[in-house]
Amino acid sequence: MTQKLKNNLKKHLFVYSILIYPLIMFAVFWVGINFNSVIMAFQYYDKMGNVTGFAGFNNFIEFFKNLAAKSADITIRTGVINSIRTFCIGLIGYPISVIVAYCLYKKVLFYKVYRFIVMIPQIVSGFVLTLVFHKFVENALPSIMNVIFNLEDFPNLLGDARYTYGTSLFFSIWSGLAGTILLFTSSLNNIDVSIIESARLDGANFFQEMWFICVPLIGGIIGTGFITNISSLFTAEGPLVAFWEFGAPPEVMNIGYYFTQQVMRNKDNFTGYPMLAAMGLVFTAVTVPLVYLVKGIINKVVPEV
Amino acid sequence: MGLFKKRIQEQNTLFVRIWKTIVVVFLAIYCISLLVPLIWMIFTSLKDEVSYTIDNFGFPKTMIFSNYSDVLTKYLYVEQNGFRYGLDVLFTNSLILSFGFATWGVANILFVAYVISRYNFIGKKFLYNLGLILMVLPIVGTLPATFKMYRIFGIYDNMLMLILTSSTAPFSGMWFLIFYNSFLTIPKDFTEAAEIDGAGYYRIMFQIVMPMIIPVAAVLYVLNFISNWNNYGVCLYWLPSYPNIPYGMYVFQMGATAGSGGAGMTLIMAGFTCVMLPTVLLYIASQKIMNSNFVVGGIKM
Repeated sequence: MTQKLKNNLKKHLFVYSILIYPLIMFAVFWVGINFNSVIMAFQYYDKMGNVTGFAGFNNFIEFFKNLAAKSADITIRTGVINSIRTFCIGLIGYPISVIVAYCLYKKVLFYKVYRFIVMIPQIVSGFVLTLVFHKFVENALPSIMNVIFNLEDFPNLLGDARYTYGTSLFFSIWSGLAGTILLFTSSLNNIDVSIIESARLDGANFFQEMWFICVPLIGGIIGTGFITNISSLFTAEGPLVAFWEFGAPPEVMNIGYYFTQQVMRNKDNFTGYPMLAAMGLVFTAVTVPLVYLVKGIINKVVPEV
Repeated sequence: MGLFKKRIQEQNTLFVRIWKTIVVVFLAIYCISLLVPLIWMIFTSLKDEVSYTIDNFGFPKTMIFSNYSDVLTKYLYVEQNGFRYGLDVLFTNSLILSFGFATWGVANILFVAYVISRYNFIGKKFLYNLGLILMVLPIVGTLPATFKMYRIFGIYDNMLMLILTSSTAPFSGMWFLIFYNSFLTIPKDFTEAAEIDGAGYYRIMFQIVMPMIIPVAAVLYVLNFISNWNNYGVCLYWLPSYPNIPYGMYVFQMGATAGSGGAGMTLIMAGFTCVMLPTVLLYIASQKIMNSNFVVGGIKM
């Protein structure tokens, strides 16, 4: 065996010795779990999780029946509507974040103070922020509204069915805004100063600089965030587990939370799992082409996404 | 013409001022909204129950610091499966989980990124592209299958197994790409010189290349540690017999709310402040690393 061949063998041995464990983990816990999920969608399970027969498309039929039913299981339908609604309304966070980040980048009044405060949700744990928000809305907000605005009957926004969805949606946008503002601000700070200066020399004003120079230069980050958001369309749970554990009111239901709730409530009864697996396949089949379609469209504008 | 241009410029300046004012007002309101709940948390944590009932959002007239010691010694525990887990157990579990997940997760990404970025081997391009695909592949509803497989493999309610199997696709994700690009920027001369001097592949990896990447790895490690320190979900879903501090706090605030209609609010808020404190301290302590420009292989990134 020549020295070159020996070295090559040694190199490959080294590389695969590093990769072997991650690859096994990937094969078992990524490929295996997804494969198991697909198979599960076509099976019947008993309470203990033993396969009791081939279900064909019955689990899918059951899911579509539940989705179409007007009274039987409205939580799935509400979940689908809320997931889409949350995603669409959540999009307003993007332009707001870009505008605010640009103004911070342009060093508006007290920009250092704002940048520090906006960083707080990243430092303080999300878990604490979520639960403090919950307690604050339930306990302190009605008193504050009463004292400041004289609103004696200010409702409990997370206890009154009319406001629960809106409040949890507000929380998602409110707490998520800080992260995107920081991300966009740091991306803007990485822009080469000479590009901005040459744009100014060419007579670009505040808005032209933002729209024609800065936004395209951080387009990759904005596009990636947007695609990540779409890919989590039916997996995002929002703050529902922190707010209500596994007993959230039906009006705030979303699909991500529905999966968690159903699995955790039925830890010792597997009979409903195949229908959930079928449901997951349907939502995956809807989301995959959507993600790649949007990615294709964004790639035409911003190739680096 | 000159007058016309001047007018447009003036209008633009005015418009920019109005625009900036709107953004500043928005930012001020947003920042106040972020601060108010946290200030309320600290104020409440310093009150006694009576003064909280009288005034539930004002400044505490007398500060009760014993709330902190009370919540830590008397209330922060979990009763599960007939066992009572005290603060010492919760703290130990928190440490093991944060340390375990952060160390194992970062090490896996680091090593995989190193070999993919610096060595040519069969399957290199496939792995890299697979990682990119996984980043945007939206798989929905695998929780039932995950739950079932975790029970079959004995991972459910087993801390060590859960940590060891937590990194399922280390060749995918944002941090993999950051490490991948960082390794690419290290000149090959460093490793080639070590090779000529007779260093083996492991020695080159651990003694030559890894030290250069420490600042980047440290940032990920700190963020990962903080995120795992705050993770109550891991105990809620997968490790019911290994409760950590956030889970203890989660259980405590749920029980207090359900049982006494918010009567234990001062203690709950004292608990939240205590849970929050380590991550804030860790963040402050690691500020130098977090804000530093990474220097990799003599190149400032």
